[in-house]
Amino acid sequence: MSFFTSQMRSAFSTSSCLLHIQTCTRLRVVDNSKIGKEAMQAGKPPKVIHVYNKKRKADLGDRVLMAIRGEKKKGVVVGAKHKVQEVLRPRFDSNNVVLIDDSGNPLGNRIYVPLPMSLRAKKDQYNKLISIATRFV
Amino acid sequence: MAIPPLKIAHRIRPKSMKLRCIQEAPGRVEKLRVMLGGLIRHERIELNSHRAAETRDYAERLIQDAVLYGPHHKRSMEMASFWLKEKELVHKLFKVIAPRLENETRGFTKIWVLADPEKTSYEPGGLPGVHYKNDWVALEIKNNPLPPIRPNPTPHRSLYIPNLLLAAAAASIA
Amino acid sequence: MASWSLTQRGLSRGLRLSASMHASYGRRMTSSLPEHLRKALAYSAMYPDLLPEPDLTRRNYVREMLERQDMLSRRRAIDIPEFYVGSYMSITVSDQNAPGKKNTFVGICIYRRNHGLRHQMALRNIVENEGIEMLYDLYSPIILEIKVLRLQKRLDDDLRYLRDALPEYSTVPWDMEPEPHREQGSVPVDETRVIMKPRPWTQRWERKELKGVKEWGLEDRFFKRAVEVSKPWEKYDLMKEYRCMVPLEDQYVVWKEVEEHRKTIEEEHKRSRRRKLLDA
Repeated sequence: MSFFTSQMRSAFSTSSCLLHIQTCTRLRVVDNSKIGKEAMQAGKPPKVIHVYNKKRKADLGDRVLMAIRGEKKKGVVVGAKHKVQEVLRPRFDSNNVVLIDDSGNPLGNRIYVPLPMSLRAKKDQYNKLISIATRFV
Repeated sequence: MAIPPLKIAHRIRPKSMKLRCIQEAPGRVEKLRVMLGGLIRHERIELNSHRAAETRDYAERLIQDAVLYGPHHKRSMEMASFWLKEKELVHKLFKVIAPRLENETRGFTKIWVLADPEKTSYEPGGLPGVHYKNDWVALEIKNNPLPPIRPNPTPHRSLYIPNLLLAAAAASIA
Repeated sequence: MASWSLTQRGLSRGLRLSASMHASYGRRMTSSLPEHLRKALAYSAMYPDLLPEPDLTRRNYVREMLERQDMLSRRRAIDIPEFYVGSYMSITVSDQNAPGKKNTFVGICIYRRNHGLRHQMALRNIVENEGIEMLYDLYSPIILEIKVLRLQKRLDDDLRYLRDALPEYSTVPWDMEPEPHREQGSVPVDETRVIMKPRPWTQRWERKELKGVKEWGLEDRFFKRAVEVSKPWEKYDLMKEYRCMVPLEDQYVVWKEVEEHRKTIEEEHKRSRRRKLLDA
């Protein structure tokens, strides 16, 4: 940016970047599912290829479709680094995901990080996921 | 931090002084230092209204700190030394101007609107650089020893003849 | 109070004081701070939310008066203790989704922002190796309890750089007991200086004037560039400083009400806090 003079800086406007989880976002798997562990250890975290909501931007509790070790797997976003912090919504230091199957059951049986309390509102969808979680925040 | 309010209608936001210097913010600060130095040295300077309004705010703050805290206060001395490039002006601010304006209640400076100088510079031998003198004002520190700008100050409204007569009539009726 | 009585005549006319009061104010100032100025400085640090916005275009005397009434009545309902950025705190909030309908978060206060009823603060903690931050509205009725576990200040007013520092500096034990702190006297300053993680960071911390960082782990070129883009004249900018602050006489309107509040409501809260500490 050092070659921009003050005149050039005023020639166009830029918006700040918004840290949303969307397609091509890499997420951190936080359960002990076999495929998740292998992907994280190989240094190739899953990449989001589709977000299951109207906005196509994933927030806490949203379902996403990810490409992980050549396979397509569904997951639930359980941690997000929000650029804009909202009141009473926890802001995590990493974008976390728990792998699930089509019916909403988690692929692993342990979760290593605290989950947001707002996930408990979706008891009908994520009953098993909430039961294996150790900590809520 | 807590600062007493300025006694003048100061600018809510800084306004462009319409300077042509390239350095933006540091250039503005540099120009303000030059103008403040001129104001403290000569006690009355002529400039355009934008620059005068900006300089006036800074001058009021400088003099306010000098009056309230005096020269032995670390921060007021630091500010004066930064804004007044020549050290004799710092001395003048604390030893001459601040004691003179100690009891001033309605601000320490005044702006007088002047007529713009005639634009005669295109004539050979005319005044140089007169075309930038638009919105020409004089900014002065109060109670200065220079001859007043308005030599015959207008009397108060109550001393106008019609008002005197009306006041006397009202008194005689009551 | 003797020191507030000078402003009585002025307060009846709103925010503008009469000329004679300005004169006496000017004459009384000496190099040592008078008591009412010292108090104003102390209160503006303790109650930054009660002060109005410095931006003149957004000032409204009636709105500020109504908001202040609401804030002080909320402070009557629950104890909102004195805290600073860097204090360890525990906040309990009513949460529909939580098992006992209450959710507690413990952490270090990293920033405070906004004025009046909109005042917010953020707590940060490392929970099971995951850094978590929570933002709270100070005057939200959802908040059930605010406890200060350790009252302290840090070297900076904004601790967002803890996100890029080693995790040990953001960790607050979840089961920490509230430590007794001196009610009078100055607030202890925690002079901890942190060690940063390797880059990339969330912000260019080397360009902010941070006092609380010990080891940057950066090459010289970063600091050279920081000096090039720095604005050293800003700390001398008298009008910029003035525009960021509420003038003293406007502050007195607020502190007068705070004095009454401190004598009545806060004394009660302090007594109940001391009782709880002794019982525990």
